[in-house]
Amino acid sequence: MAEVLAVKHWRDSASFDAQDRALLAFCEKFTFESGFMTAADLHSLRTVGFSEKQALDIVLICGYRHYIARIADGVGIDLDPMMQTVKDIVTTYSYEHVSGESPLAAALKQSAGKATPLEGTTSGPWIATVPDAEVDPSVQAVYRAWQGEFGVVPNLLRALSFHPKALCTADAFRKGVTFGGSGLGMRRENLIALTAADINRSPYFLAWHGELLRRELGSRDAAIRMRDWRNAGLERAEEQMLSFAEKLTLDEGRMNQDDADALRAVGFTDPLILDVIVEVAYLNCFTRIANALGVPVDAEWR
Amino acid sequence: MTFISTVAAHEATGYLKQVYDYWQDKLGQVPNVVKAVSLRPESLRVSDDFRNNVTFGASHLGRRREELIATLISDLVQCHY
Repeated sequence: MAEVLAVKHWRDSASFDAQDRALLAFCEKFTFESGFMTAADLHSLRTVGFSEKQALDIVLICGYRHYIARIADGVGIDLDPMMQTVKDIVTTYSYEHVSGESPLAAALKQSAGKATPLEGTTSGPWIATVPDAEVDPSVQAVYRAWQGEFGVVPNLLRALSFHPKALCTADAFRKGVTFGGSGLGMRRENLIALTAADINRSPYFLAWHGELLRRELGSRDAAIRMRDWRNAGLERAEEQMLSFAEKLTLDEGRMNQDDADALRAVGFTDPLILDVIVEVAYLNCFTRIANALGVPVDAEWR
Repeated sequence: MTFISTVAAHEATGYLKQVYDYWQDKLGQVPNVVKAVSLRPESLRVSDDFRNNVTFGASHLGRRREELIATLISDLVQCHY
């Protein structure tokens, strides 16, 4: 129990060794400024003795945690009865916004206007990858499907190639919740994705979803206008959807019944509200993974 | 009380029922985070498949470090659950 509490103040705790500290520092940067991560951040894990596979594991687990936390807070679930032993401690955590905004929002504000390391880069990723000709057969099948549908093997998948099961399940995850896999339709999925990619400063996902939005809207200019969605002439339902997406991305601890009701008021059913939550959660996971691994924008979309 | 509806145990069918039964057998209850996405069982399936291949013992880090990551990130994004 003491160690659970120590995580919150890990810098001041004697409970953690050098590897733990490097891991926890990486988690913080992944959370607050993934868009500004560099090869040095990944290398800081190697320096303390993490292997290449462990470094990739750390990135993927960090990403997953950003997904599942947003599911929990977007849907608004209570603690489980089996959490009773920690419940009294957890519920005493008071997440006051000292400056009136969430830590994530404050971090975003601080980085406004700054260029990110991945903008314009063509090299990378910063993690070892398996050459296309040598990948596992399960990965070959995923690559072939992408070539067939989009004429490209995404650099993000190559970045996961040393973990074939993660790569394959990540791609199935994508197909199941986005790229037309939700009930929202491609237009709304890509509006959400563009918004989340912008907030999380992910050139990789801005490029992908900007391109997919261009195809939906019929012009590059129309897609670019959507980055300023509050002034893009969107219908009320889509403005409300993106407002929800922004709050879930930056201030999930304050999501409440009013947020879901605001979507219902503009025509979203509960399954569609869940689709929005899942889409936002998915993007908060994978935009950060792409940033932390230094995945360059696919050449086709530069 | 969740902000959107969820599928009750007695209403679950197909894959969702399998998942609910699994957790009921394993823990004596279905975790709320599983019920959270019950309106979209397919999203539960694909996210669980990803999760089962990257954490909860599937990584090369060991459970302790997997849970260090989980605990810190949950605190940083202010997720009580």
